[in-house]
Amino acid sequence: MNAHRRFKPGLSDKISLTVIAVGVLGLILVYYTSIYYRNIAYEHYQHTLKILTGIQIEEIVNDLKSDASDLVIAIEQQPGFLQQIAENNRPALAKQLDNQFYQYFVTANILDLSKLYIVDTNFELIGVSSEGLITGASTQLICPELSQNARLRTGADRLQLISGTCDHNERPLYIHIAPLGGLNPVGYIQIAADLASSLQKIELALGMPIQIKLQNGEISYQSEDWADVPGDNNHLPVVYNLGTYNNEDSLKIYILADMTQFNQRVMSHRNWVMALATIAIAATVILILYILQSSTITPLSRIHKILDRLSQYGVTQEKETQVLFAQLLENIITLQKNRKQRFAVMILDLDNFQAVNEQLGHDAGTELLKHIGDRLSGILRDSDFVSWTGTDTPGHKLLPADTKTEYRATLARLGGDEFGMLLPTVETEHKAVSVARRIIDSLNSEYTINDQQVTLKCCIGISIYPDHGQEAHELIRMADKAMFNARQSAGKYCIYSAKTL
Amino acid sequence: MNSVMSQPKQLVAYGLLTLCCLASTTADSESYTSPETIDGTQRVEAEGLIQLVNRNENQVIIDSRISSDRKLGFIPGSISLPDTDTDCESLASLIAKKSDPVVFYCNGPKCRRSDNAVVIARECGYKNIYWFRGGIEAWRENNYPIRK
Repeated sequence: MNAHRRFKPGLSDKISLTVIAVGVLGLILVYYTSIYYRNIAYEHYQHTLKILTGIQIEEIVNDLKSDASDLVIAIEQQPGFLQQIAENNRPALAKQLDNQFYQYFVTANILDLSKLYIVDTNFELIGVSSEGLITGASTQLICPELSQNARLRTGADRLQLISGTCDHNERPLYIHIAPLGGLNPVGYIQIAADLASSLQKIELALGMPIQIKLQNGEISYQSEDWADVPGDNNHLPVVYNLGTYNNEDSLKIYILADMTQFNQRVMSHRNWVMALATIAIAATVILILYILQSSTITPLSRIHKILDRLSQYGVTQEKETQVLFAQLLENIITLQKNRKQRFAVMILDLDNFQAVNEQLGHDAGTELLKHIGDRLSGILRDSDFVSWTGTDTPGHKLLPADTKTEYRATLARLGGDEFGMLLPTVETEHKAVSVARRIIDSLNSEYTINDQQVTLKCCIGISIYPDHGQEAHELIRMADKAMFNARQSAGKYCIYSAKTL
Repeated sequence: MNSVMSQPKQLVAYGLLTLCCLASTTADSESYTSPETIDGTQRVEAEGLIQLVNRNENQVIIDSRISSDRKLGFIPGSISLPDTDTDCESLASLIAKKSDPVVFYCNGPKCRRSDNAVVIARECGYKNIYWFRGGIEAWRENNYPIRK
């Protein structure tokens, strides 16, 4: 009858959809949780790498310290060197210092010397290498803060080695200040070595590609395979910020950690969890469907089918509707049996309907039926057996949406002037009687068909499940009997009971 | 010490004592630690050694270690005289007078060579003996200059 019926989810659909929705939500949760934990792991790894880099840098600085100490010994042992300090022989000292730029420590690539200085015991500059960095005014020490600290020391402290890092012209340097001439020093040496170039060793120590960038953006060093590394999710960038004595942001060390294996492990674990969850969801849906199938789905779906067919048959298919009505009743009984709920069956008889049909014609009869239907709509609602088993959802297909009535029913024309009604929500005799009264009052008032006034006389027989019968045919028979009884006694309605019959 | 060990009764007592404390003392008995002080000598620390050098022009620093240890770094101005070579004669060749201040050092408290040397020096009659118990270990810790 209605070709464009909208999809109305049944109970099993609703439950299955809910399970699937919860499952999908769970899957989404698993997915995002895995991303969340991966990010936490990344953060920890970044933190660990930073610590590792810090340790490496400390080690590199310690190596520089040890190498610079060796350089001090080597310079001190140069013939005539200490004598030249004592004599303040500046040209000779400068030459001695310059020589170092062509000797072991530089040529064997142990130290990347930036500048060498000699100061006297008052920290006055008496020798500077012309090799190394171009510093402009050669009377000024590089990184003077450190030598100032060295100068201010007294007593045995003046013999102590001072080392540290400092920035000079946006380039980090390792500075090493050591006494010359034994325990009664004649002067001090200040070694400045390039720190950035020494930091390349981090690449080897960590086994990861690195890039060292100075504060001015100049790339001091970059691993050969730096550019080859794809900028994907599998490569985690770590930035280590190196500060020096006079500059907190001297340089940045970028490290690319390869997380491919880690990600593979995380993803395979996640996929396993998701696969198991999917299987669990599917199993739950199947289980629910199975349980529903064996309890309520079967009668419900049958009811649905019967209702569909009932709504399709016209007024002429009386035999068919009788069978369907009985089947419907049977299935409702199956359902209500599980719920231990009572309900009413009514047989409505229109006393002079056939007479109207014969006198005024079939068209008038059809119109009268329409009027009857409209009047019944004011009292009864078409029942939706699916929603009726659970929550009450709107969607009663035959009656207007604004119908305000508490009683739902299925109406079927069983004969020329006989109608069957199932009222699943009417659970007591008292309620059934009040509904029957309202129906009779409504149907007994006058109808206007083809400008003619028509009155009908109707009566109703009622039987209640399970009081008056456990089987469909029994209930119909009892309701029929009650109706007959009502007609005989000229009453309007009758409830089947041993007393009345 | 040998005479003590040869007496049977004491040997048994010593053995019992060792047995009782076996678990806790085996590790300790392996490593030697210098005594805190040695009679007839003055103990100095690294800073004190520098002060001695600054104060006394005739201060002698004796490195009691073997030459292979010394090659790895020594205190500037120190003279090498391993404890095994230390006797009144060798000391006399390095120290002009018995009243001259002399300081002995070794690798550190686990090295007993300077302990031996100061005892020999004391027995030889030196009056101004200083003992740098911390040795090269403490010297390095203080970032003082090392010569090789």
